[in-house]
Amino acid sequence: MGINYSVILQVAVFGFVVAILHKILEKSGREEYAQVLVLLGVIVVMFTVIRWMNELFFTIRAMFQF
Amino acid sequence: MEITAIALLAVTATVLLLILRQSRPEMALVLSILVGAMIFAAAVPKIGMIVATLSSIAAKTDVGSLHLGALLKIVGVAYIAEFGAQICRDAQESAIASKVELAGKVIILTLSIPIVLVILDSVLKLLP
Repeated sequence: MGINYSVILQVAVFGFVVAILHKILEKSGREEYAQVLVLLGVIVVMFTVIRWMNELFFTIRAMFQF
Repeated sequence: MEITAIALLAVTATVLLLILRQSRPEMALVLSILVGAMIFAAAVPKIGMIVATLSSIAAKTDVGSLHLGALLKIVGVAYIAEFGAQICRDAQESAIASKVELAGKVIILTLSIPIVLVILDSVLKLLP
């Protein structure tokens, strides 16, 4: 696949949303929810990231005939 | 021209990451992994042409084609190890990064043993 710009934008926006929600939860006193939210956000993004890292490593292996 | 797309994407991602790193450094790290992997995955297929040229040159000689596979594997291992180590270093985990690099070096050494043995054989044959 080529460069998928929409996925990058989605992950960036998701990151900003997590940051804003974290700030809101912290300010309203729910600190534990804030930490859980950050953890969940990282897990959700990791699905996409691991898929693309897999794509990268498959491409490298195909090019160099692993 | 693809290099302009890649350069623009990298600059835009850097600016976004600068903002994101202040508030949520872990989201900035995963975003940088994603952008880096995508750019890398877009650039690596271009090497396929170089690899094909190398293979055709090696096929013309007698001895090159045997070890071209090992050489290509070594280059691939180097790329992947460097990618992983640099990501760890970006997250201030230079201990893990050096372990990844060490693993890459050990694997490359293992892959290069047959080539070294062939060279030793040729040298020993040359000696009286």
